[in-house]
Amino acid sequence: MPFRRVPLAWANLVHNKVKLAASLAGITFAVALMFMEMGFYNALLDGMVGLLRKFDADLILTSRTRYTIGFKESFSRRHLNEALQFQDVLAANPIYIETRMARWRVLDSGLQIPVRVVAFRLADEAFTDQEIQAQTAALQVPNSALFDRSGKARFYGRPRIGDVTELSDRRLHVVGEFGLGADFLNDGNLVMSDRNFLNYFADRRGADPESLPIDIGLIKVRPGTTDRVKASLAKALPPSVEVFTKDQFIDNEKQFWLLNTPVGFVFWLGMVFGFVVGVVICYQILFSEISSYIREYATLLAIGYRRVDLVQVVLLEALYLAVMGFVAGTAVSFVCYAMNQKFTCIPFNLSTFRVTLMFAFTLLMCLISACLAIRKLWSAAPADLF
Amino acid sequence: MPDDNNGEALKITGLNHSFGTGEIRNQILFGIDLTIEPGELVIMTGPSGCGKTTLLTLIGSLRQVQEGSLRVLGRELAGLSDAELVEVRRNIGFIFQTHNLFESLTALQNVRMALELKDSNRARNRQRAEEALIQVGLKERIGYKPKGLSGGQRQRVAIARALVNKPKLILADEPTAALDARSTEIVLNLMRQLAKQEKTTIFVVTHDVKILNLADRIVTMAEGRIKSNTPTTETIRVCMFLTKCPAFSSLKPEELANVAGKLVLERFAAGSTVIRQGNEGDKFYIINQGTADVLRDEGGGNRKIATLQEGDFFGEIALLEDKPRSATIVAVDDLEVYTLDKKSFRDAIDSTASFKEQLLKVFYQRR
Repeated sequence: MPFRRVPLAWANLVHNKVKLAASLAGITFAVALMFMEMGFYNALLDGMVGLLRKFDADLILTSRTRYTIGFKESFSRRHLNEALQFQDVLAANPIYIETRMARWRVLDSGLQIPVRVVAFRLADEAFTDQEIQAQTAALQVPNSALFDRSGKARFYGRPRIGDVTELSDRRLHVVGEFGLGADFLNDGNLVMSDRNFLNYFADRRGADPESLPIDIGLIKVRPGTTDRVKASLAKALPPSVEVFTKDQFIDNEKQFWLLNTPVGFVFWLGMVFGFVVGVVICYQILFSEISSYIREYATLLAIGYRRVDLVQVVLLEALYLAVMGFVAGTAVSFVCYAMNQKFTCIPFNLSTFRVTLMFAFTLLMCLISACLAIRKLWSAAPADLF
Repeated sequence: MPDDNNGEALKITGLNHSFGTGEIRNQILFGIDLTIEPGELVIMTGPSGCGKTTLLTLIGSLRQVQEGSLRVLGRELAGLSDAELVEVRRNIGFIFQTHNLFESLTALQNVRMALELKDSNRARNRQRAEEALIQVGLKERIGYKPKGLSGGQRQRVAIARALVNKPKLILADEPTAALDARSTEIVLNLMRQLAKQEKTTIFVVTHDVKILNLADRIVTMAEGRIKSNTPTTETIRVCMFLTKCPAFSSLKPEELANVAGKLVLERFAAGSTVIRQGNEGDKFYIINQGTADVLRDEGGGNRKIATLQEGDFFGEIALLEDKPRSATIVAVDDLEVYTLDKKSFRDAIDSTASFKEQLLKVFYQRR
């Protein structure tokens, strides 16, 4: 490297190891704080749409008044069957969901804990989750269900396949398991056949099987016809039924939690606060760094360096702080995410996109701090050195 | 780059400077005139608040010139933008009272910081920085950070940083104030060497009497004005010439310095006539450099009666007797002489009876 310059920014940063450790701890804290708030924010959304993502469908039908998956509002199966009349519709599969009446009896304690029960016709390809689809034969057993191993074990215990417990005071055979996890409304899940479901929750049965109330209708269409079929269905079906694409349905659920509940706003605000705290911490570090070298910076100006050269030094220091703080903050966050997920059973996912986004936030945080701290450089007056 | 170069390292004309505006305007410098030649080591002294620091910062292009002319290394600073002043500063070496080294960098890296302003080649810079540190006696401390160096060693690193680009002008503020005797000696030798070998002009603000003997010129300031501007080396040299003359040999040093201070340097080309026999005497002469023939016409044309050389003097008889010149003086080669005008000459004689008597004694001895 024949043209490498004196690494002033790096040297200034690492010169005092104790100060560096304190600085890094500050940035790491800010990064971890942002990560955690983002984690809660995303856990809220990821958790609430976890079930929806597992549905195998191009279009989804729900009651127009079911503004969120957690709100119990059903519609008549007849409308789902009407959808089958459309030329490009390949399948129309009903999904039943019960949360209010479903009570899981914990094997060890005998306590009854609320659980979400999701049911489907075993002949249907209702889930993208192959683990569930592969166990349809087992679900044909009367009074049987698949147990959600990702749910809160401290509530439901750890039942093994073959265990017999109770659901809403009736015997239930655990014939298999799957992984979904908790969300902000539900601590765990069971999946069973529609036949078993109607046995457990008799109030969902009607006189006319054709007009049975269902919660969600999953529609599969020929490739490339999704939008056209959606428009046709929206026109043909009564106003009480709403048609979504799968992505729209997921977005709709997210928007509900973000805009109509305080939870989304609180976590979003937490992320902003994490960012602001990071800016303040980083600003203090850089300001103190510049202040401690102010005469040296003034000397550099005297011997012919330009202020923009000094600005580069401070920006580089901010960049180094951002990178080091981000690495440490990410490591801490990984551990915290794992702990959170283990404790809450809510999905705390760190995707590449989210890590990249957080790095961009960290960079922005340190650069804003640097821009604020750089004003101190203007107090470096070489004429005052004499 | 200098816009033109008249030879002076520094030329200041009618320089005024103030701080503040309106009612709180406070004028610091008043009509400063000063010319410094390349290779001169100038020491500036004066009481606190006399304006010497302001003058130093103006010379160092650290402030905008407000009024007057200030030429540094041939470049006029008045009217330059901040960016242009930065360019000028890159040709000046700065030595401050405190070392102002980056604690985070080694001695070598601190010196390299100055080099990287002009050259980005790492290997070359490393070599030059090492040479500069060896020059200031820090060969064994090249890789040390300031914390591992003594106060004197730190200041020597700062001096190496100022010298490493071989600037043609060095501005130093109390450079020896924090140094021990050994470090002071090294620094002074360096300054002397730079001034003589590299023709570097060195401008030092100091109260350290130990370094006064280094000065080619001592500038004293008081209340924003230059109180005295004495080219010391030349003055000492001229005083030595004066003491060769019996008339001046008994003068006290300050009386000699007063006479020397009134001398004016004049140059004559080879073959030219300096004074002509029969003309009215108006000046006293001392030869600074070159040789001259003394010719006298006693009726048969000019006849060479003597040859004068460096340190010899002539022209005093006509001044003392108020008579025409008794001989013609012709420059043999390019001649440099110090002259003292008739009034100053007479004032000097009248100021001390012993001085007058001595000159008369010389006069009668010559006759």
